[in-house]
Amino acid sequence: MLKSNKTIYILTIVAILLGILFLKQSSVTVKNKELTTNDNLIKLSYDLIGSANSIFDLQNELNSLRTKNDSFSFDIKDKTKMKDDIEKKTQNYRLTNGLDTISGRGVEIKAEGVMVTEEIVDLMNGIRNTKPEAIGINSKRAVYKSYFIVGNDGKIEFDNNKFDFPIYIQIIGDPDVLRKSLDRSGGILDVLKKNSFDKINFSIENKDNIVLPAYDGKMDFRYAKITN
Amino acid sequence: MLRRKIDIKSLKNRVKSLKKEDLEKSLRKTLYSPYLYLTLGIVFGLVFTIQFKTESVRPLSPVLFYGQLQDTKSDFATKKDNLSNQVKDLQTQIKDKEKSLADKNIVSTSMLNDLSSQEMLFGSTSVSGEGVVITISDGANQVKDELSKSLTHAADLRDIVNLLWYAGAEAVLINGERVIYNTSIDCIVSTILINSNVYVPPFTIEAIGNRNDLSSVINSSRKLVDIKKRADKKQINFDMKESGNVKVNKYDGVFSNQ
Repeated sequence: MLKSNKTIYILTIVAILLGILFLKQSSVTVKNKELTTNDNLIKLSYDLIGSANSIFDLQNELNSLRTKNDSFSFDIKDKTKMKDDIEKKTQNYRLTNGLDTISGRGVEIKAEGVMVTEEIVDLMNGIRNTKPEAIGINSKRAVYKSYFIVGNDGKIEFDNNKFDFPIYIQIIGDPDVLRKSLDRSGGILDVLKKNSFDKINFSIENKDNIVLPAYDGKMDFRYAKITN
Repeated sequence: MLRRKIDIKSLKNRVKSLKKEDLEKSLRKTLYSPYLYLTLGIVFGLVFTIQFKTESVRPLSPVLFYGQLQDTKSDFATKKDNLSNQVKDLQTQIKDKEKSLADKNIVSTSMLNDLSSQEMLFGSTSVSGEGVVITISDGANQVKDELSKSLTHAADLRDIVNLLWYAGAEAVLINGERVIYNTSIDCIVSTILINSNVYVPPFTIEAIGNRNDLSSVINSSRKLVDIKKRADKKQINFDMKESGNVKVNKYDGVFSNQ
């Protein structure tokens, strides 16, 4: 009788342990299912792509900085080369900042129909997402501080310029990349068009030579001071 | 059809005739039999061997794949940090060398000043000055059918930044990320990607400029209508404060300009 009770106790303990293990397994399974949802995988994939791109860019920059740093002792002897180097750097910044005329291959988007401010902001964001070299609207240069407001008159105010629709947006960069990213199904042009119930329409055209003049607004700092 | 008759009476008698002790004895005999354990051991051994020998033609579970991706992500993050630090060190070294060249009159100060002002315009210099600090975050008051309205969206940040430029901002920073010429603010599932970095609410947008101009435009009832409507309903938190000293950090990402 005593032995039989002992067996029951052992069996009960084993059953409890198995129950705990089963519950643990179930909760882990549920947790894993949540982790591996499509949303989480997509997010993780984007993170990985972004990180890989950053690593690639950082490595490139590091290499060029190393070359530059190593060449300093030599360049001190070669004043002309040193000056050229700094001038080139300044020139590149001027181009990027929109202070000089820039030209090159790219695409031009024709936006028809009256867009609202949020739509034009989304469009410009979508264009910036493709990391172009320069952007212009109706051949006026857009810079980092450009703003876009559509007024009650249906005109777009872009920096100190006012334009009626349709507007033409010039983008300098690799035309294939720009076209594929902007004009694909589910891309920014497609989304804006669908969300507006076809009230706005876009057409995109490759351009061999887009010329964008320097930014014609003010670019000075009155309130911002350099700090460490 | 043949039917087997069960003699219940004789069966009962047989069971009665079995002693409890005999039953326990036979059960004990079976439980303590070495052959039982030998057989069980062989069976378990075989099962384990088969399990370990089995090669899967594809990942057994998505968790394994997810775990590997997570490991890669953390490797990438470490590599990225190391590279960023190396780039920063080299940039500082080069800047110091350029300055020393200017001091030795090898290059003119005006050339370096030009470079410095272009760097400032680009966003590769930290700046400070008066301005505004805006905070926006998901609200606690989440209505089931309007869940989307109680979240901070990338579009909200884009609209605020656009308005800040309109109001005359000179430099803008979002959660420490400097807004430069090609900055895009995009929604990636439940996070927001700014430049190449991912952020989650709450968001702090710092802008340098005339604080009165900035705050009057942001406060204008005709601007940011949707954000303010959601904030009034406590669906999101939205706040703006003027400040005499806003610090906007330099752009920390990659820009190859050598």
